Amino acid sequence: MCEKLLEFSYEMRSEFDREITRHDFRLMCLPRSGTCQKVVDVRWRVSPYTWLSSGQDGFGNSCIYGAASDHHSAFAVRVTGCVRTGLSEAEKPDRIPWELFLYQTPVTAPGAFVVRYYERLCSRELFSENNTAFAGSTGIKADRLGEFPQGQIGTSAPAFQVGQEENYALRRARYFMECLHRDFAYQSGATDTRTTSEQALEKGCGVCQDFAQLLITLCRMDGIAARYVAGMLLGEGETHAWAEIYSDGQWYALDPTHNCMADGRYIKLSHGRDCRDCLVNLGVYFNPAQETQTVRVSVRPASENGE
Amino acid sequence: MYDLCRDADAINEQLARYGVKFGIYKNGVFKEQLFPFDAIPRVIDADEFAYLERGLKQRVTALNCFLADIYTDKKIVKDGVIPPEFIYSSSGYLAQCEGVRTPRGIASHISGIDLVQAKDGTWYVLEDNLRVPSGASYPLIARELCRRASPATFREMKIEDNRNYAELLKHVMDYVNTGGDNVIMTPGRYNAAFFEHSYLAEKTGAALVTGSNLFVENDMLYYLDYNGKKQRVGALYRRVSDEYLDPMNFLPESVIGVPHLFDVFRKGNVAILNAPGNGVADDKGIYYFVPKMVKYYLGEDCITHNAPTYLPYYEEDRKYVLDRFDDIVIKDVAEAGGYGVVFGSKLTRREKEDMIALIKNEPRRFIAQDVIDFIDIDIMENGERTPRKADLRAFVLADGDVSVWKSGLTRFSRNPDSFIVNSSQGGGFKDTWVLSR
Repeated sequence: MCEKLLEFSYEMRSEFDREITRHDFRLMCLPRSGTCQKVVDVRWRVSPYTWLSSGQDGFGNSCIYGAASDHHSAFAVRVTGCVRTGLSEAEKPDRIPWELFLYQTPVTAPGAFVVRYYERLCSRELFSENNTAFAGSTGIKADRLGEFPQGQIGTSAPAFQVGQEENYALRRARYFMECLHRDFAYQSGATDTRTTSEQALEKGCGVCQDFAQLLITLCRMDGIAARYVAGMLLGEGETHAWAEIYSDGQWYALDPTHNCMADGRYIKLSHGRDCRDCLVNLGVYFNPAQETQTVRVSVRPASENGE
Repeated sequence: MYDLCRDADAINEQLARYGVKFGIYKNGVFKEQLFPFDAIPRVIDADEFAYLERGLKQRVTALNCFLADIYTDKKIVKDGVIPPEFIYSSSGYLAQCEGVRTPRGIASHISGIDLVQAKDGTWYVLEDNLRVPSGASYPLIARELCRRASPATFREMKIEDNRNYAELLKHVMDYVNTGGDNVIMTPGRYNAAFFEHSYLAEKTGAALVTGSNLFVENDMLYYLDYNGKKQRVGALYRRVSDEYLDPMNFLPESVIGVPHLFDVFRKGNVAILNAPGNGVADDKGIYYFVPKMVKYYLGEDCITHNAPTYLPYYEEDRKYVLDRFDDIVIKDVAEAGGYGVVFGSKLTRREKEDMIALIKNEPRRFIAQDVIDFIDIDIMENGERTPRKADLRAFVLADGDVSVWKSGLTRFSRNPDSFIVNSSQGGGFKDTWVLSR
């Protein structure tokens, strides 16, 4: 494992085209400590606010929440800090049982497209012992419209037999990841936070959130516990999302968008059953207004001597 | 008693004037209808009630142990008594509640336990309602009116006074109160049980508010009183379902909720009655395990009887269900209020095949029960006594002590062929008399 000390900043700015009031917000943009990463230092600034508090949700994710009651037309959040990452190759279980992540949610629940895709991945026997051999593309992009049935298909998968072979679940999940990476296209703006796995697959393209949720859907259909992770990735950009799957007593982080294991270059913010458990920022306010939101994430190696 | 029957029309007229109604949503339309009162009471004698009281106290104590356990240590799952699937795939399970310890360790403060009595006299629990069970105010107000109509009846017969319900409720609120006022939160005028919310607020001295009067500041919950002054809330008896409570923690589109209310609760700064997340314990699937909970947490045999219940989830039970399909009633665990209940014998061949396929495909979604031939109770219809199916909702209140209200809501089906007595399906109600000797 390659240990890293990363410096990060998360900046979010919302502009409203007219003044809003009674604005309540909830932010889950603080890194969480675990087996793989430790938060060394974190500071945050929110403006404006009337009151501000912080706490944890049911999954142990940190949140900042509060309200900005007075009239305002801009809202800004800035979180900066330092995280030591890459401390372990897998996350040890916490107090929430892994079984909680075995079940589909309304967002991850498969429909006809996903069921058909899953069956195809299972039937082609592309998954092999050493998990590297692929006989070729499953060709979902080319022929999916013609072949996907419209009717309802049963969605319950046979229960997964745990402990047959060493890290079988992880190898299975990696297989699904590689298939997804090849068959599903990245396209920014193609989907939104309410897009389900089924809708995303039908469309054939989406963003990191859709890659992560599709991987979760396929794993759960296979009887593997899988959870959604929101976080940040080394470099400049927006927030990122990937998945963790439970195999032989530990959680392994897989990034299906980049088709790799999420290692020391990744900073985890939160995890949950799907993207709705990990909303990085959520706000409700009075007065209808057009909101323009910009998010800037920056992660870089910290200078060890401390700036 | 004869006075009462004679005066039933007058009482119903007064109930209408007081606004004792039950609202139902059907096909997207809100319709408020009178909840017809029948003057012949259900009478439970002292010994029988003492038995029910022992059983219900035990049951609710175990259910409260379960709720405290399931969101923290989960011992009952770790020890293999309940399969994890019955917890985590239940729609009533709320991951948001993980790790929350409720004020004074109580989650189900007001429990409505639905019972029926079989022809051999055995009482069976059909359902535990631990979320926001409604209905206590109906027998309360009916008793008040009957007492006025026929004072002699209540002088001559030894009937337990039921006017202490509000007092019991106030005790419970005071007991769990974290510092501040007792408040009843109603979704508003168009809720099915609005009459009851206002009635209980008046009787307990709690403030009646809607979500828009409540707000959170610095991890405390407040409401604006009649003078527009900000007052802290210490106990919130909410009559709004979990998912609408707080748009910041549950459904973001909820407009009747209070942003950050759940965060206040999580920090232990307000008691919410009943606690969010209770749905995991009154799910129809979990019902099967209640006798096991009693044994597990209290080390006692369960006094109350469950209706003989089968979980198609277990292979042995599934076989029984398919073999005895015509003798059983099938319930969809996700439905409530008498919806999603199917009698095997009443299905056409085609419907039967579809149902069996559905059960095989989604075994966790259904429970099956033997049909209990429960006793009829007479009602007055067009001046004549006619038998009808009826159940009893007993109200169990938990503060440091658990008590069973010596009354209850008896609901009857107005349709002679129907076994379903839910008020949302258009039934009527009776007073329930518990005799004091």
